[in-house]
Amino acid sequence: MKDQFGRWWRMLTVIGIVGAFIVTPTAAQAAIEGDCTGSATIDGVTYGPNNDTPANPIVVPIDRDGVIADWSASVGFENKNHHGELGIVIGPWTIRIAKWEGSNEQDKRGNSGQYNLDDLKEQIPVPANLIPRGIYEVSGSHEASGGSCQGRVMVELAGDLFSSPLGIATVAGTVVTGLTLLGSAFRR
Amino acid sequence: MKGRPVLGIISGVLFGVFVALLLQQLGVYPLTTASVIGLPVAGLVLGLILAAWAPLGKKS
Repeated sequence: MKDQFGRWWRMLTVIGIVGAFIVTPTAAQAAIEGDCTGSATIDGVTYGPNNDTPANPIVVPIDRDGVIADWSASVGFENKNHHGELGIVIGPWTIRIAKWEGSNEQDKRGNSGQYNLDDLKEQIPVPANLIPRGIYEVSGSHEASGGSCQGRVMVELAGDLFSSPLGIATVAGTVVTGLTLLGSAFRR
Repeated sequence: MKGRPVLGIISGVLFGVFVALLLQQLGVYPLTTASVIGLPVAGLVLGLILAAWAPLGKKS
């Protein structure tokens, strides 16, 4: 019995060491490089470039309809012949979700407006309740005649883990594969 | 190996994938290269270690 208890402790130690190895490189390294800035106000909370860590994300209430975000953006350099894009980071890939370009002969260096978050939901090719909740890294870049900038922020699609089928499947998959992994530790 | 290495490799990789998804959906960490690639690789290593060590079950 004591021997079995000791083996459990040794196994937990190995799991702890591997877990520490996994968690160590996960510190967020998001920032904005270049002379650009922007902000968005959602539900009375104003977000900006500082919302670049998983602990301090831009919170988007995806469960509610008709939420309006007031936004503004500006650059500090000549902004003619500009182009840029925005994408969601999934592993080593970035999935583009927006793109813009223009000649901007008036050299307009700032803009603002309102964005209905329902438009965001309509762009995603699945029903709103199937959109995976959680934290996403969103990266973007803007380039013009006078300079360029790029940056990353964290966006959290707020909602209950169990409110989407994918959330339930993820929890079930973690439990089942975790138990199966434990099964590999049994002697043949 | 005293344990089950094939089971350890397959379940370790899948466990890493699901943990990455779970961390993302809990709002703990997004799906970056570190989590999407790193966690399944770490799961694979963990599965091999557990299979090689095989601390559970009867001793022969």
